[in-house]
Parts: sequence; structure tokens; C-alpha cells
Amino acid sequence: MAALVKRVSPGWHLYNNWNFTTARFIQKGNFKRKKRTLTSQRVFLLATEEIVIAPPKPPKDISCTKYKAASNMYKEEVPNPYFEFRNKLCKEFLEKDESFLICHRNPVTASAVYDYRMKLKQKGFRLVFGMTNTLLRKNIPGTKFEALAPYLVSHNVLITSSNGSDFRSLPALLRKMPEFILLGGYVDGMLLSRDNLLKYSKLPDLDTCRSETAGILSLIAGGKTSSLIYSHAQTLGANLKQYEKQIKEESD
Amino acid sequence: MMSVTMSTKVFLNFYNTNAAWVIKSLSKPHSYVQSAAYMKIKVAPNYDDIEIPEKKKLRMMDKVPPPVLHTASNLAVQQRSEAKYCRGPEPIHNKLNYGQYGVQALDGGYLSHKHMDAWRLYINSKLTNVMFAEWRIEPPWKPVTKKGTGKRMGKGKSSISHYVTPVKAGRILLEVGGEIEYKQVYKMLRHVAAQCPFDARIISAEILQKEAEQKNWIATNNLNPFSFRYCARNNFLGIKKDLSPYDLKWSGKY
Repeated sequence: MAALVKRVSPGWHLYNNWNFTTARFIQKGNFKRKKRTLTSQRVFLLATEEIVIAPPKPPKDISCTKYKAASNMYKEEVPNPYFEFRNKLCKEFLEKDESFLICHRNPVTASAVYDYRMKLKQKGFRLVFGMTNTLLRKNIPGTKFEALAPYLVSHNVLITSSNGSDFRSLPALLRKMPEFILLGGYVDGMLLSRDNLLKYSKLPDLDTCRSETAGILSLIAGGKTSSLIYSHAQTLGANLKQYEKQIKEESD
Repeated sequence: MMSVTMSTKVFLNFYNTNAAWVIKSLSKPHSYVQSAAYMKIKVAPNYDDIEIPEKKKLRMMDKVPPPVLHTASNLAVQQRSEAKYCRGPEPIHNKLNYGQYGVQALDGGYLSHKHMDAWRLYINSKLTNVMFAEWRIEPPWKPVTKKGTGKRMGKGKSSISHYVTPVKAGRILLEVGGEIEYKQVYKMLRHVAAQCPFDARIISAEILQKEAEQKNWIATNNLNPFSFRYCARNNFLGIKKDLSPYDLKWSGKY
């Protein structure tokens, strides 16, 4: 009630001001009150302040959530034998020239990961969690995988094939794994994005394509005769009669 | 029927025990991804260069200093409360002797025996076999006088009530070292820094080095031709009227 009276009364702002209180009503609080500097002093301090252009910061093309960890890439690293070993494994993985796909990984339970791993294993594929984005981003520049850098930003998972199995069946498999979102990859010597991979998956096998081309080539050679022979009986009879007339005229 | 009810009771009793809870929790799906591939092992720091002295703990400080003049009376003499002992930067004792960790004062002030005893008891209880601590300040030597309660002003200088050590800005109060890292030292020394009557901070050799490098870099890359020292000494804007002689000496920083 007293506090309310103080605030409502006309002189309350004077009551609460330290400069206008007498010795009896001062309640010394537990804080350090800094002295207010004069305007001339503040102007002088601002005028004589050091002006420095700060050095450039690392670029922000890395994900915002782990910017600090990613910006350490631009600082000098202390040589760590464990990281060197992992770097070596990553280089060997890239030099193998095996096809692999990059999928974004949403939060997933361990039992679900186990199920997905089994399903992929039955089809001859392998889930790889160990190849982190920092390792791949270090080893990619200068190689043919340089264009995959935009995919190596968020939580990722790699899918490789141990037996050289066909990657065209993967998009259908991945529809049953909603936590893994396909981004792109390196398949059969080509760097493919998601759309290109889906188109590539709709293409037929090499054997079927070869057989089709062989059939087309064979038709070109004997295409006209086969169309004549396989036509209707009436048209075939008329064509044969015309062919007889032509031969007779040539002999005559 | 009786056997069925008995078995259900036994089952229910088992169901509520700790063993059953453990089995239940194992069957529930967890939210982390298990992988037995790589362990993130951190490389341990090297402590071969560190020499631990014989006396590892903080020594006890005397409340009253021993008399300097051995006279018949041996009376302690009152001193003026001179602020010169707390004013300005510390020119000598502002570096770490052992090159590890310590507490540095950011402002000037007085430290009494109460502060020192409290820190001594706390730090000595937290020290291990591979750690040591050392004072970097003198025991209290400066006498502080106090008038009794209800006494009026005048009637000469009063008698000495206690002794204090004056401290300048930048002085290192105590050092801690050994096979220890900054995080562990911070937990121990934050109480010391908080209990100081002035601003204080916990430092390491790396922090001091970085600050020195930053200071040098700013001094070399400063684009402002008007420095505080030059402008104050030459009375730019008539500022000498509002500055003290200590601002001219220490460029407005102390």
C-alpha cells in the first residue's frame, strides 16, 4: 500500500532519486553505483577511441547450428593421430570409386535403424554412419566429388553397395524408410541429384536396352520385307500380284 | 483356480520389482543410434614440464605484522589512509610465476586477514596431491584505524583496529598449478574472485598471451590518429579542465 501511495503521489520520482534524499531515508543497496561521467569526457573518450578493422570471419555457407564447430576448419589444427587415421579411411573410401548415395537423416530410433539395415543388407546394400561431413568436406576438394559439397551440411547417412548391386531399386526401398531423405550421390561414374536419380531408376536394364537396340537394328535391315510379309492376306495377295507384273515387264 | 490366482499374485509382485523394471526398460526403444565403430578418445595433456614445489598448500598469514623497530615500547604506529597504494596499474606483480592459473585483480582495493583466511581454508581443502597453490600478496601490513561507536569527530587519530594489504589493478593475488585444467581451476577460484571487495578474474597463461597479442595488434592497426594521450596533453577541446592528473598519466584507464 505504501509503495502504491508512493507511485501515485506527485512527488514520488523525487522520493526515489538518490540525489534528493536525506541521510535518514537512504537505504544503501548491495550494488556498485558507477559515477556518471561528464558529456565532455564522454565525447573525448569516443573521439580518441581506437578504430580497428576486424579480420574477416569464415564464410557462412555452413549450417548455422554447428557454425562454431565448422569454423574451426579455418583454424590451425593440432595433429591428432586418431583423426589422421579417420582421414585415411575416408580417402581410401573415395579412391575405391564405389557408388554411394547420400541421404539426410532425421531423428530415428535404434530399432528402426536395425530394421532398415537388415532390409538394405538383403538387397546387397550397406549403411555407413562413420563418414562424417567434416571428413568428406576436407577430402573432396580437387577430386571429382567436389560437386557433392552442398549435400554434406546436415546429419547424413551414406548407402553403399558391397556386391556392386543395382542402385535403381533404392528409391523404391527408401520410400519405406521415411526418416532417410534422398539427396543425391555418385552412381555408375555419374554425380546425380535426387531428380536425376529418380529418372535413372526408371530406365530399363542394360540387357533389355541392348536387346531392344539389336531388334531395331535387325528391323532396319529387313524391315520392309517383314512388314510386307506380316501384313493382311488381301494386301499380301495384291502386293504379290504387282510384284509378278513387275518381273514380267522387266523380263520383256 | 487357486493356483492361477497365486501365480498371478506372484507375477504382479515380480512386475513391480526393480528387476522387472530393468527388463521392461530394455524392451522399450531408445532414441539414440548405437554404433560400435569408433570411440572419441581425447588426447591427454602433457604435464612433464610442470614442477611441483615442496610446500603445496597456502601458508597462514599473520593478522598483525611483526614490529619493525625493536624499541622498548614496541607500539604500532598509525598510518595515513593513503590511496596511492591502490591507485593505478600494478607494474611488477602482474605476471604468473609458474605460468599456469591465478586470480587477477581488475581494480584497486584493500584485502584483510578475513579474506585471506577464508581463501586459505577453502583452497587447501580442495587441493590434491598433484596440485599446488601460492600467495602472491604480502600479509596485512597497513594499519587501519577506527573510532568507537557513538564517538564524536575530533580528539585526535583513533587507535588501530586491524591491518590490510593494499592491492592495485592487475595484481595477481594467488596462483594455482599442477596437473589441472582451466575448468577445474575455475570451479575452485570463482569463489575467491567473487569474495574480493573489487573486481577480479581467473586467468591462465593463454589468456594473458592472447590479450597481449590483441593489444599489440590494436596498437599497430589503429586508424585513429587522435590518441587519448596526445590529445589530453595538448588540451584538445579544453579537456584538461575535466581530467585529473592521473588521466594524463594513465590515459584515462585507471
